[in-house]
Amino acid sequence: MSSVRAPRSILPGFGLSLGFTLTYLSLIVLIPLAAAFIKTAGMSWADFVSAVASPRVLASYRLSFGASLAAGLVNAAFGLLVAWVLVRYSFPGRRVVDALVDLPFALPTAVAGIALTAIYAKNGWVGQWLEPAGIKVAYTQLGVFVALTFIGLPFVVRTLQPVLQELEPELEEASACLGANRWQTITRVILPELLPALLTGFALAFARALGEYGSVVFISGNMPMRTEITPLLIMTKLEQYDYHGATAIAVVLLIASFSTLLLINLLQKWSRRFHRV
Amino acid sequence: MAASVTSTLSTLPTPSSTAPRATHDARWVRWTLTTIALLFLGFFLVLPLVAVFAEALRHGLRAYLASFSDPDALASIKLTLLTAAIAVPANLVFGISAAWLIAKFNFRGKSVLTTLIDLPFAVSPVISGLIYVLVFGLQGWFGGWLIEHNLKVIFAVPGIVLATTFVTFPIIARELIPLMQAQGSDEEYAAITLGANGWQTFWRVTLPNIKWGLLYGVILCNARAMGEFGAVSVVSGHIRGETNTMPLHVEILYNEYNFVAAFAVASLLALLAIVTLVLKSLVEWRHARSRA
Amino acid sequence: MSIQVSNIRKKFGSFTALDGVDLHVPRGKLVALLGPSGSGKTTLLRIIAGLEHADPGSGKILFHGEDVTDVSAGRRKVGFVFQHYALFRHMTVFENIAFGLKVRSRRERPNRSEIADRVQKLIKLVQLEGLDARYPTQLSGGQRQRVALARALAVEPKVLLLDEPFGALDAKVRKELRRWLRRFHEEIHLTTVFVTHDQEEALEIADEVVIMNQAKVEQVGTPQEVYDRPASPFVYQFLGNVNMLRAQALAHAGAHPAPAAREGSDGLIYVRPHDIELVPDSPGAFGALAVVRYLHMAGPQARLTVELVQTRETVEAEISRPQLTALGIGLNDIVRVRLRQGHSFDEDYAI
Repeated sequence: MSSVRAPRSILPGFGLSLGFTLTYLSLIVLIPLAAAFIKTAGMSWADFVSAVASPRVLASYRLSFGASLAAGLVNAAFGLLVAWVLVRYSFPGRRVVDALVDLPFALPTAVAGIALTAIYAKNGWVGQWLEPAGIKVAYTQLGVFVALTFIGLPFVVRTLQPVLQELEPELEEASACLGANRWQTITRVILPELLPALLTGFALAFARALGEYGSVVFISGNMPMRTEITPLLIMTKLEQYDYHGATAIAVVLLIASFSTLLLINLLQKWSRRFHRV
Repeated sequence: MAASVTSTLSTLPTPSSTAPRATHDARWVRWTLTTIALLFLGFFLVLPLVAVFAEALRHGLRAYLASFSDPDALASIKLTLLTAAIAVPANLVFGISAAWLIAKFNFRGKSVLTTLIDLPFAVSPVISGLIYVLVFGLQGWFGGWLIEHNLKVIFAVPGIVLATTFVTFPIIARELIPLMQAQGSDEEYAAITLGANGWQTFWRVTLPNIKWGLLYGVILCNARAMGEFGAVSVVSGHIRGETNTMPLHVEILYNEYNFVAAFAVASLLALLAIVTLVLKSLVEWRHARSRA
Repeated sequence: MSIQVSNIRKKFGSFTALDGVDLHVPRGKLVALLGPSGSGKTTLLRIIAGLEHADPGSGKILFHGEDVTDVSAGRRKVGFVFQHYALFRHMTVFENIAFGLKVRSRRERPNRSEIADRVQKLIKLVQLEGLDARYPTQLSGGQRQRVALARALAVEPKVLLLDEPFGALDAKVRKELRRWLRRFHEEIHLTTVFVTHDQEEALEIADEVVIMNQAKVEQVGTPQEVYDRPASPFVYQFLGNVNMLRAQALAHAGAHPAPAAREGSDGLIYVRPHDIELVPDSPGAFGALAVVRYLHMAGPQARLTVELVQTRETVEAEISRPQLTALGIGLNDIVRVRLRQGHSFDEDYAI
């Protein structure tokens, strides 16, 4: 019912599982994460600002946030379409396509990175057609966007699918009985129902893209000020043994990610609001 | 809650052909939408996957197979297997413990704990490696102590295992928590009233009920553990034959323009991904059947 | 084994589920815990089973005089049948029933063939012969219910507890199964407590009915006692239909002989529809004047709704259909209403 200080459940193992869970969580996640914040807290304000707001770092933020946002939006649109097609329509190979959607989760990012680069390089399968048209993908900001779209693809589809499945057909029937045409039914009845899940999926894809490293570094070309994403910059600083600089940027990125996480939690609370009976 | 939805088992119902007409789209709408969706997926998913194998086999099967006779490649495969063999069981035990705690008990701070478990999903892989450098690295909290005792964590195998464990930390727990919550505790209560003790209840009642979800969690966790790149890259030190996992070896070969060998090793990882997806589909199918 | 519950309290957050409940269940009886949802009946049952703990500082649970308040559920020797059965999904009927025997420590565990014998006997007892290799999903609701019962009985409990045992079944199966449970109880004579919100069910099969409301026990008694002599307005209303009439108006009209149902402190008289007597209005007839507003003729009894002329209160009455024909009462006729018997309640005193 409500939170009870000491649960008096007859099921055993509360103490054991609580103790183990908290210890493991602290050792593997919380203490190492805290190290980043503590390290940064030891920096002077001026050092911190110069580390996180130099022109090269600002350029990397612009690229990382911009490309993540663009990739998230594309995934929101196409993810909605893919989820709709997978749930509502029947076509040969549907199960295979459904399984394939998870590929970006299962395929190592480095493999995705070199594969995308091979495809979009100027002699690649797609690149050789785009290049004459004046569109360069590999080693440009467009390449970063392509890689981030790839890795964010499953999020929107997988958040929307269960919601679409549970959407009662009665809603659509009721809407149709009340005289709405199909387009009105979709835009006024179905989309509002899907909106929280769609936003959640978008936010998840965005958060994932923000921190992505492996799939991007191969295709981006890594030119400072132009195609250098923030995680790569952290890596570069680490290789130069600039631990303070790396950690300071990491903290900025962490705060951005955690804010997104918080937003997602709020979104899910908000979406559950309508479903409490 | 981040990324929670992404890995949870889903089951696709077959759209019934007798669906009411009010929920039906016109044939041309269905055709157009399906075509666009498939084209999008084809470009973004199928093409890269095919490219891996095409590039690996560019110079024929012989060149492909020769890539695996390289001792450094073999060492990287061994290290990858070792890393997964430690990280996956560790996260498995944690996943079961956390799921039992969260699904079976009510306590203060439960929702905070659930959010904390998701944290690693929101952390960039590069940062996941960085934080271990800050703790165990030369200038880190335990750096001095480790040197005194002649122990090495960063730029060595322990660091790789730790970073991998961090990155795959929530996967199994995330799979089990919703599953166990949905199943409720009535069967466990029944077992207890029939005289079963805690372990008996867990092994004979809880575990058989969650086995498919558990299996899928382990499979996914394993795939991610073997394929982790960014975090491992930070802590590895890239010593050939010693601290290079398969993804890191792929990077080195690729940067040396040894494309066939790079894609050959990558093709093994891609196969692993395909096997993971196939197993996932099978598990979902079994799961759906056992629910029926 | 008898069950003694004394002064048990339980709160869930700010919600009081049990507010100092006392209860005695005599040995070998079939007792119903009856009440609306939220009355605390299921919580009480779970506390008796040891599935839930009463709040610290509250009273005790005694089994056959022995304090079991701190004994774990597994050691209380209770058989518990869950509302949704809680059958182990991955086990067959046989394995489900055998579970309680198989988890015993090696010293106490019967050997394989003894377990098989015992399970087969139970399968026969609950009439599920031939279904022992089925999985729960392959059984009907009534069959699952009986598997759950057999599983609970396999450990030879001293007390059998059933939570809404027929709640998840459809109406017809429900009726069959509850008669079967009654006969079954007469065969095995195990002290049994079951929770229900269905008064018909409780009155039909229980030896004793415990009526609960708002975390408290309202009344305990045999079905006839609680039906004929309800201890409170709540019990009266919960056990079947009732008319609540303003006593004064009826007294003036001479509708009832005074002492049988004198006015309570709330000024109301509680009358069951079948205790209402109707006669056609004729010179010299006594009783309150009323007009017949509705006539429902489906079923063995005719149900009438009449409106009292003086107070405009509506009264439900039930009379047999032959009697209605004999009286010649029709829609919109003027009739006289009399009470055969009624009840009234005082704050501190009830008839």
